[in-house]
Amino acid sequence: MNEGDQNLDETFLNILLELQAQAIRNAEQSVHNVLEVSSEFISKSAYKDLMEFYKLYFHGGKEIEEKSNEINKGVDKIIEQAQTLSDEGIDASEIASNIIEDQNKALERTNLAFLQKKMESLISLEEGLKDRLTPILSAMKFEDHTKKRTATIGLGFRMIIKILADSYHERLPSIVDEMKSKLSFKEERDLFYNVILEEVPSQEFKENSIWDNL
Amino acid sequence: MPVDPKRFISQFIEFSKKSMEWCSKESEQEVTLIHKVLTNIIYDAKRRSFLPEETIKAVQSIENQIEKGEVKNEDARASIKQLLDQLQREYKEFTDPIIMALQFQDRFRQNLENIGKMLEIWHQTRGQTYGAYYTTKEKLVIFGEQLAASATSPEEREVVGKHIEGVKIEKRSTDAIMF
Repeated sequence: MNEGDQNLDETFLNILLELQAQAIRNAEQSVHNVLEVSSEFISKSAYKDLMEFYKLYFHGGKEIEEKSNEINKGVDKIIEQAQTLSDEGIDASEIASNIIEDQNKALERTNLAFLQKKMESLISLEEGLKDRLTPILSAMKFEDHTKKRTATIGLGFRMIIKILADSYHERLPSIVDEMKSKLSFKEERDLFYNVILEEVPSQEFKENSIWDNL
Repeated sequence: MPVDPKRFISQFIEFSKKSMEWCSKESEQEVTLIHKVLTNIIYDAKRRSFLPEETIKAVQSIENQIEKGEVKNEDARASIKQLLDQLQREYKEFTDPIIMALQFQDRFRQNLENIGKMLEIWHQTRGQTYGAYYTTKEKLVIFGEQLAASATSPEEREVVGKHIEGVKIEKRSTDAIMF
């Protein structure tokens, strides 16, 4: 491919990513204002928890994802240790006391699970809170949808540029698979199957369920 | 599974446009959500005997219509504005964030619609020719001007201008936020 065409595609990718970031900032600002005003009609403690939830979920960002990956690795390590101890003939009741888990990692694992549980219990404990929180949580869920969808488009467009740049078409199936693995909401998954795969979506799909449990 | 890259690009652009359209449409729901937030505040104020009865009735009327799906977004916006006008003198601390939430929602909706339009412009320019556009500096500027023309905010046009040298960025009379 000629250099000029490649330049146009890469320039457009940069414009696209910047405009997406601008859209996300506006969505965040809108939700932020809804949150700010919500402090007027929910209790101070509920508002504090809501803000904490919002900050951790959205602005923990990569940090949360990285922590989650680290935690998963940590859990794998624990299972591995347990297996080794079991193979060595150590009694099951003694295995737990012999497993070495980093204290900080143990705390992080508890915090991540705690994040969701706290919101669930908050909603069930505070009378009438669910109705009051519905618009706020819906706004947050929508922000989440938009971030994930724009990320899918950004990823797909990067891949398209690679396809156009080096004509390495053989990688197309793996590109499609990678995009498919990033889909986290049912609506987006259905659209992807209908438009790109031209297939009826399979029934098995684990949606990002944090919002549905609230 | 797509195997033809040219077809995949067309499908991807279609997917992206529909995805942005979905988000844009969903963002309109935020107007009714914001109305709900305002309703919560007003009911709370009623509980604390802050508000006159006619304001409460106005809220209930529009809320009933929203629940029945009888309200267009323009009407919901108008209702919010009317209620805010009544509240603004005494309750500025929470009317200001609502106005801002609506302004950002409107900008955001436009951002998403414009991203969809720009993806189509790229597709028309490049995707369909598929590697044979032979972009020159002049062609790049024309492409940039097409992108800028599909933008609705000065910030969006500035992004285009920042990345493509030579694109003229016009100031439009419609740039002001109207809410």
